[in-house]
Amino acid sequence: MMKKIFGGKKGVQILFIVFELLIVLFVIFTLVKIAESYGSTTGTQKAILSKDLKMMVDTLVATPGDVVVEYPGDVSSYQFHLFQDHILVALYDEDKGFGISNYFSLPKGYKATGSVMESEKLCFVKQNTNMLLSNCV
Amino acid sequence: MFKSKKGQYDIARKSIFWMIAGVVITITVLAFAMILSIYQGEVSTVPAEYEAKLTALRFVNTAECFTYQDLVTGRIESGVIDIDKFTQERLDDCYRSDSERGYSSFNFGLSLVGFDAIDVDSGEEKILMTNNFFNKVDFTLRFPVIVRSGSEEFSTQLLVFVQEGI
Repeated sequence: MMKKIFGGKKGVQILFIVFELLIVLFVIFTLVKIAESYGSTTGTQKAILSKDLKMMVDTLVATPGDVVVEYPGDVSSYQFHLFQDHILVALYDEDKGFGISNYFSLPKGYKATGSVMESEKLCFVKQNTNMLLSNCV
Repeated sequence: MFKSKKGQYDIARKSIFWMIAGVVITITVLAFAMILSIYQGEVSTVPAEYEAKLTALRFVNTAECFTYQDLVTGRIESGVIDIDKFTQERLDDCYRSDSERGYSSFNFGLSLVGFDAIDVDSGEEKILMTNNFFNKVDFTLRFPVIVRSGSEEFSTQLLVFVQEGI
């Protein structure tokens, strides 16, 4: 039966049509997946958050005295890690490798550290030349 | 399997078609991803002047950079530049972009109007530069400042030449 279907010229044509349909479906699936990944707000949101926090670091460096700043907005869906030269933002259940980093330069003698995970509020604390990223108390 | 010439011709035609289609589809998918990526970048872009100003504010507000700090009270006087601090070594400690990828971030050239050092060879005023500043000035920020030299104070401007990523 199979030989009868795919053995002849018509069988080859059917095979090609199936192949073409599969290609078309694959292309549609790929495009939808790409659009979905960019369309989901998380990627853009991570980029915006990391940029915001980088600018917050720059602002705190330029602010004399001790400061505590609370980031406006619910950030419970994300994890944040502050390092000496960059801030990393990732989804709370995501590997850090998929996070988005933003780099900054601190004056000599400044120290930046701290992580926040699964917390609604996020605070930057600056004491002398130490910057700490922490949950707001 | 393909005994007739027409059958062989069909196969050859389809193969060529799919070879070309494969290239076109790949380019389309990549272009689509690129367009979305650019769009995402645009959505999250902050004006460069704004971001650069936030970074450059440290030059006039931070004691670890050039800002005058009263030795007795420890008070930092924002907007007051201590002329003794206005040196290249101090700038290197204040802002240093990464040695490898720093060319793609902000870099600055600083000129304190009327107080720049004079180059011995050329006789021209020397500006202070961060480590990856290559004289490609994209825009200039101006900060009105007071320069403190000993017990004297002078009003002037700090010009910050900003180089965006190269």
